[in-house]
Amino acid sequence: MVQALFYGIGLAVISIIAISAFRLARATVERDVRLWFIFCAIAAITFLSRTEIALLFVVAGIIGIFIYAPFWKNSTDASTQPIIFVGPRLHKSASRVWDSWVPSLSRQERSRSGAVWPSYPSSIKVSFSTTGG
Amino acid sequence: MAIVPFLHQGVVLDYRWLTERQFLDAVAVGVITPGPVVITAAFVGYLVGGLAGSMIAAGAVFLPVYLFVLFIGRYIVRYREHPTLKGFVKGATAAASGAIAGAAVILAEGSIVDLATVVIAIASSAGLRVFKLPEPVIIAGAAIAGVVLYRG
Repeated sequence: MVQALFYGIGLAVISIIAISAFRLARATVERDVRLWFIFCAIAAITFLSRTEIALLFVVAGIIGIFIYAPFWKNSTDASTQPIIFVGPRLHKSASRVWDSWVPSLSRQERSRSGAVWPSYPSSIKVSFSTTGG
Repeated sequence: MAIVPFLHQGVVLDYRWLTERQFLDAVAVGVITPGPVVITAAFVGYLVGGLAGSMIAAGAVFLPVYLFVLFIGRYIVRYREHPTLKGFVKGATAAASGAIAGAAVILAEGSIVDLATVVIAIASSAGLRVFKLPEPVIIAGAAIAGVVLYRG
């Protein structure tokens, strides 16, 4: 009796797991073919190797950065700007890349070294509106 | 649900504490109760090590995430609109959902063995996907269908 009960329950659980995988993917991946490719690749690797390789998640995240935030493109589009963008006149391009990766740290550094916040009102507006204080 | 592939890996494949069937039952118990992840882990811990095991498992699942949210979460919230973080999260989520799908296929392979199991699996998926039924309802329906269709 109990065995018969769990006979069906196991299948329901598999359905729930499978559907939730696609639900989670659809919520973030939407219609981006490149991310569905990651989805399929990881699913295939998991199935074939029968192991979870946590490092692959990090690799996929880095691929996501390359797809959605190409920091090397030096674009003026606001959506690709680092949060705390002080501008190439104050910082070398190297530190701008640093800014985009470790914003909180470089902000501390900047305040310690007494860098010029007030002279760039536009950058302040950007940082406060996106960080929410 | 993202933890399911890792739980399966550790509990079934690596340490062989539970069989595939027992693991599915543990997840089922989690799904029909509030707080699926902690309940699933606690149930696995109970099967492996009794009351102490269930407390250790529940704590070990809960604490790291809790501490992460407490100390690092606010930075993530602050920079959640940051394109770099958004890109990373998108890629990692695609990978995580892929891993869940892969784990589902592994589990299905061991469980879908005859016509009755195929019917129950398709009906449960349709119930979730098409009719948007709540998960406990699906589990209850599948349990009843299992009792009716079970042939030893």
